[in-house]
Amino acid sequence: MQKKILLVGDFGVGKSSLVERFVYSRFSEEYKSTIGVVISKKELNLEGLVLKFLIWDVAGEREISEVPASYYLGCSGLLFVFDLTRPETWVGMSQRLETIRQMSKSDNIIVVGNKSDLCEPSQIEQVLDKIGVRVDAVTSARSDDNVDRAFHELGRRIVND
Amino acid sequence: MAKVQALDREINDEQRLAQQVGPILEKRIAELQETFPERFGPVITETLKVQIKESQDDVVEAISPIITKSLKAQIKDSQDEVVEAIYPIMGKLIKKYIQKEIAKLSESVDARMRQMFSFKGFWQRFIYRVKGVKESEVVVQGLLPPVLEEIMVIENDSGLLLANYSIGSNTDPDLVAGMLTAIKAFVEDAYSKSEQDLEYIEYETFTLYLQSFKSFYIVVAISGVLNQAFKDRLNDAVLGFAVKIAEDQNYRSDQRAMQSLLEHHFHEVND
Ligand SMILES: Nc1nc2c(ncn2[C@@H]2O[C@H](COP(=O)(O)OP(=O)(O)O)[C@@H](O)[C@H]2O)c(=O)[nH]1
Ligand SMILES: [Mg+2]
Repeated sequence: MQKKILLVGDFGVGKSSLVERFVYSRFSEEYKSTIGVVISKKELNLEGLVLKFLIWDVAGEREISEVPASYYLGCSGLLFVFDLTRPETWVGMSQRLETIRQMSKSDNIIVVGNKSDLCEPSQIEQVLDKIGVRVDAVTSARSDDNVDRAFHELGRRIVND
Repeated sequence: MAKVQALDREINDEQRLAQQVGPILEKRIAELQETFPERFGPVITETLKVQIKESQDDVVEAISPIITKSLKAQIKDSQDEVVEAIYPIMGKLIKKYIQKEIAKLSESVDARMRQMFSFKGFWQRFIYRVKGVKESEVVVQGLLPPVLEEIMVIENDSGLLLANYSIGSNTDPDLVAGMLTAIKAFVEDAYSKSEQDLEYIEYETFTLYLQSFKSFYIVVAISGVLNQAFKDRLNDAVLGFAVKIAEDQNYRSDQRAMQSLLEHHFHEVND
């Protein structure tokens, strides 16, 4: 079974780094802006079921609303990524989630707070309290924390859909 | 004696300079070569050569100063700006144009470099990297007979590969299918007023033909020069295949069946 998934979220939150970590098991410090769209492929094993993800990492410095509508077409689920250290990446979260839901016509959205390595546990708690929506995973692409789990969680949601 | 020493120093300086600048330039060129394909995925660089229709000349004229400027800046800096500049207009923007600009740029660098150094080997490598092909390959291209290299059946919205048939490409067809779908979406957004489908893309010695059907599209990659007989065989194969799929919905859920149907219809196109 193969599925298209999409990563969305503000510029610099770590979308490409999460893909890099998940697909290639590496992290690069170097700042890279994603150009256009980068598609990667990775197979997940979900309790015996092999799921092939085609991961669309959509570009750049654009607002979520500026992701070309056609990129959402045919996607089975999304990771919505924000940066735990930058409030501007998660304010108005529920509104943004609604926009994404409408654009993608998908309810399989995993909300991911990234860069946990830069935060104290208490800070993370505070952010999660303030955010007002359920955060499904707190990750660090850098220290490889929960990255696999976030993608697997999305896989499970898609399979059970 | 002093003259000889001065000359010696000059030569040495030049060589030192060459040693310093050479690698930097090489690195930049390598990056230019590498980051384009890497970031756009393996196909895009080469596939940006979507045909410009006459009406697009205005667009090209309007963006050309920006591109030229950023292309120049990019030899010094990074290529992010260029690509960012190209990105929003990618649908209308076209490899022919980018190629021309890169060629111009490389020619001017060429000229300057030639004045500075006379490393023939270095220079040749540079040219090959910029062009990404060997001159000899370009020359014979016009004489090659048409060969069907690859066919992909791709789901319209998701870009997921439904079936493919290849005579030995080493690119990952899943990724190519996704990237093509992204390009196609871009181009079609750009042309949405005229409701035009992207029909073909040329790159290097290949032409990709795209045929859209209701829920999928078919991409045929051909190398060499197309002739009418080949075109006819190809059209027959594409339509024959598509009709079968339309007639029997079961193919949509049975990838293996679709795969063998594809092979059945296309194995005779290359005679
Ligand atoms: N400390 C830390 N930095 C990260 C993490 N993930 C990404 N980054 C950095 O954040 C910046 C933006 O990451 P990138 O993946 O390009 O973000 P994108 O624009 O969402 O694709 C880069 O400098 C990354 O190195 C993380 O988990 N921890
Ligand atoms: Mg990115």
